[in-house]
Amino acid sequence: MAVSRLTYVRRRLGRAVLVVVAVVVLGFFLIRIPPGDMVDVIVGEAGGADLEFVEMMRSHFGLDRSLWEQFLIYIRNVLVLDLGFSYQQQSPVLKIIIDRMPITALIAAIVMVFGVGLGMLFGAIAATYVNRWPDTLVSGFALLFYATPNFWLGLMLVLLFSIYVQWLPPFGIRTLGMQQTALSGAIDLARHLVLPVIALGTHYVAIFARITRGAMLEVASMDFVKTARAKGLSRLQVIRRHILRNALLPLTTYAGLQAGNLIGGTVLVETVFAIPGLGRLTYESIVTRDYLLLLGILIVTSVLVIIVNLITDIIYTFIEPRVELT
Amino acid sequence: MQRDYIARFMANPGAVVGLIFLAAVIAGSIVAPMFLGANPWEVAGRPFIPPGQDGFLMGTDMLGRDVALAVLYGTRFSLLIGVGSMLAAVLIGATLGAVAGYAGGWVDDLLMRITEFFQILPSLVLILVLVAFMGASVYSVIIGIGVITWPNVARVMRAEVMSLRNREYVEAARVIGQRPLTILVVQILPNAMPPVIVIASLMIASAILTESALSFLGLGDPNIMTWGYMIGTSREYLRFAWWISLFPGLAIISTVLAINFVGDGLAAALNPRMEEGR
Repeated sequence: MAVSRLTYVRRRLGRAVLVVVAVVVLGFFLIRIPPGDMVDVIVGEAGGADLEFVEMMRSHFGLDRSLWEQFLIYIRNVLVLDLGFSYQQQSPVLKIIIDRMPITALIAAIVMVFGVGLGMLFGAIAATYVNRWPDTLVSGFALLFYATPNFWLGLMLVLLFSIYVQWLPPFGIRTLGMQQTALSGAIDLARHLVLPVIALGTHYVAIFARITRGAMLEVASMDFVKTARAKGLSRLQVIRRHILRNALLPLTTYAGLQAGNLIGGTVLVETVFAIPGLGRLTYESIVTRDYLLLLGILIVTSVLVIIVNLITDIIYTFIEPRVELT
Repeated sequence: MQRDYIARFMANPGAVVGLIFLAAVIAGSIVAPMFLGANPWEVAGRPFIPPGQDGFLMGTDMLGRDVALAVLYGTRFSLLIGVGSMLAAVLIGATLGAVAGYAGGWVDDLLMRITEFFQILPSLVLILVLVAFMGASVYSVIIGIGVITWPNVARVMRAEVMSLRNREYVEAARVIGQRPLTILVVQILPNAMPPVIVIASLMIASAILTESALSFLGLGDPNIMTWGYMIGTSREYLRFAWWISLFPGLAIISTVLAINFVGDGLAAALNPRMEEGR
């Protein structure tokens, strides 16, 4: 049944809030998986602590109370945005995460633009020359990059462009010891991001090329395209104005769905290129067994993904007014 | 009928090449250790011997272990973990999907909400949390991959069951008094399997990629030699020993490609109409 846009947005929002609540509840149970309680883990990793401190932490987390009371304490903490304290990094979990977020957001945004842009271009070429050599070439490369692990691709790019020909820096986000103005700093950052973006982006170029190709071929057989052709529009005009524009729609939904995937990709690529972002933080929290931080990252990234999906859902209703809202 | 399937599969050159490649790698990973030595952890020569020298086809790693042997061992475990986690995902996904599709109503609603929930979460971060918390082992990796991939199976299974549950032959079974569970298992499931088989075969490939990422980050089972582990531990030596990272990566790509080709072949064989429509 069709509803108004306002009702639709409100419903989506309600559902998103519900999903966030579910993520938080999931977190409460996940933190119970490691053997021993949270304080054992923290103290163990910190190399031991005096008994008084241990008792203090137990009561801070409410571990001396019933499961239900612990749950309420946990929810109360999350509501005031307290995701716990990282004893390894000596800082509140949420603050560490927020500090590391900008560079990851930048990489994710560039990769998305790069992936959607080039993916559409190659997908459109493949669909235009379907079953001829450009299509075979594009589809072949899409399959190949789909099967290539991004962390390995990153290492091979470093081998080629940083070690063998030394064109681009192999790791980090800025050249150490370099006097930087705003402009030279930006250029330096850009040079550092070229390889990570390629390592992560090729996968998305492959995905979006396949989706664009498929969507365009589906649209191409529809009646309005035949009409456009019959009224004498050139091939290029038909492709650009009628086929590609209509094939864009499924692409927006897919782009939203890839958000979660993209965050996973940054974990690997930031680890390879030693980029001090959220992904590298995830790796560090695994290596140092910083469980609260790791859980905090899961909760924060999940909320981000939920928000991105909510936004794409809403954008979708604007670019496709015909879609039936439910 | 059976012969038709095989013929349609064989008509797809990519699928045949993929299948032959996979059969060769599996045979190789079983037979080769008899010739090359049984233990991939064992020091076989000097460290950092480049490929092709001293009889080491892919060279030796930083501890002097045979890279070719380790790559072959990696095949074993990558395929085992791939198949194992695929089975875990199919077990969870097919059960929930079948129940949701057959029951309908609020059961369907609830199960689909849960499915969407797991699909929206950043899956790699979730699996990192699961494996880190459970402790790195083959089982936690398999369970983890199962947990993040079952929604795909559930969706396919639900759609199939929904399209089958009101067919006449199912109605007939209902009329003669078969119980719902019997109808689901005996009448509907066998006919709902083809698309599930296709998606399951492709999931082996994505499971291999996920496992390699976990091992690369140091969350694989510490007792087994995997491709991701080889790449992860050798990356500091990339500058002067590229071969330790290169060959396991090529192994991942070729195996994943081969499985994808076989999956496409299965799709064409099990559902010829879908192929014609393309």
